[in-house]
Amino acid sequence: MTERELIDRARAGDEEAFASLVRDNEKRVYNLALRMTGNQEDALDLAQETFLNAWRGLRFFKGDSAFSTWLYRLASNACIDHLRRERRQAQAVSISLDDEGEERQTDIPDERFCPETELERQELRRAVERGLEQLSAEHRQVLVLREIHGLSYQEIGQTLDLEEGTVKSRIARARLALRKILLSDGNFSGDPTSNSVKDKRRKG
Amino acid sequence: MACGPFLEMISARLDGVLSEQEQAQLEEHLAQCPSCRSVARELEGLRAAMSGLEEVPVPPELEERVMNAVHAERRGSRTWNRRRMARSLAGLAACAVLCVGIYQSGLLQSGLMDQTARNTDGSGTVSSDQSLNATQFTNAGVEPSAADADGTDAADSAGEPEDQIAPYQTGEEKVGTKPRETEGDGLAIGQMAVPASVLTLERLPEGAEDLLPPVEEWGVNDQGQPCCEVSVQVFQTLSQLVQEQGITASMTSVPEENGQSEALCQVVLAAG
Repeated sequence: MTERELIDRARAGDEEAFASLVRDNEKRVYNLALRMTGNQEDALDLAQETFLNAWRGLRFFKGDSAFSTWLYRLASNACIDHLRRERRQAQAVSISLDDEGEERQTDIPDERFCPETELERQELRRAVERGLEQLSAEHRQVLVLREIHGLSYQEIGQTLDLEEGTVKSRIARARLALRKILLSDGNFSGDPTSNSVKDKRRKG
Repeated sequence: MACGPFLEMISARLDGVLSEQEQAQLEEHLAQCPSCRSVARELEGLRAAMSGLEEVPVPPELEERVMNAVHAERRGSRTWNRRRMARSLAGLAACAVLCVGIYQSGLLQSGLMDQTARNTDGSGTVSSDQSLNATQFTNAGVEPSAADADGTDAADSAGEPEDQIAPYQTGEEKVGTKPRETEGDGLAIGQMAVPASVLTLERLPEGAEDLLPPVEEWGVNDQGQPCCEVSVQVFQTLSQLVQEQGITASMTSVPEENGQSEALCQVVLAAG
């Protein structure tokens, strides 16, 4: 059965068809909620809320975007609402595209961003995860959809109801904000006292 | 150096959306700007790291929780629709008037008991009849999910109380035929202003539609909150549903089967 058929059936009240749609899409919905909220319980609640909203609003899904895009939209909205309620809005890292480049006049990129060992890659991933949680909800949202869920600018625009130009500049700012957070993170392993690679290895 | 526009281009290049002209412009700038070269390399590193973030496996209970919620929604709306059909068959206007009249004059309880006696073998005491009634209501209100899984109306009608007793429809036939309309009898049965037990709910549980009249027809208590009076059995079934579904509620006292089987219990809807 194609997705189209499943949707039509579910819209007509076929719960099994809807269960099938849930199974096909739960991974992406849950992971988006997880990256947005940073914890599993909230992610589970928000994923459930997303699918329940999808069930209730099936008749409003017109098929002009992909079903997954529509689900992403429901999930994004649920997550943003949740974050606003929880007031976990991070201190917005101010990013001006004009003076960002002036900050570090150097031709040596920070080597931690280009890990060579598996351990270093793990450290960077963990630092990125922490950094994501510190981004503003809007930056986090757009970056997660682009980098983790692989949505195109157009799809993100559809999901968040934004112009593509807005998506493009918001993603740029989000990336720079994340970079800024990681640079000020100091030691990627998170332990402020340990500097040397040897220490990190011992901890790992 | 005004790197602003180039920073956005660096980001856009990562996503492959730069035009050829923009590409050329960016390359030219990068050749002259070490700072932007650093940024470009760092952003590439971040992108690689992010795509390396693992997709976390979904907890298996998610699907179950979703489908339980979906199922509960559906069942609620479907039984309500059937309730509407049953009522229109019974005579909507008469029923409405009766509902208001019944709980006001305390005929609800007496009517229910009469109907119970009629529908059973007529044997046994009042309390055993009422317990039979409770079973019927329990089945109607809390249908096993297997019945609904068919997705057909046939499965649902098995549990539907069209041929069973609905407390607020009961008195309809009895009022006209039996001389129990007098105030005296109503009072004798114990219908006083203060009900034996009061269950205060934030909202109605799933399945309540089978047991209670529609909220639009309830009366109002001294605090201006919607309330209706029910038999002990309905009260107990409702309490059970409320507990199962985790609805916030409070109860003034627990009705005893024996001692207060003839008293009226009250359900109050206190919003918020």
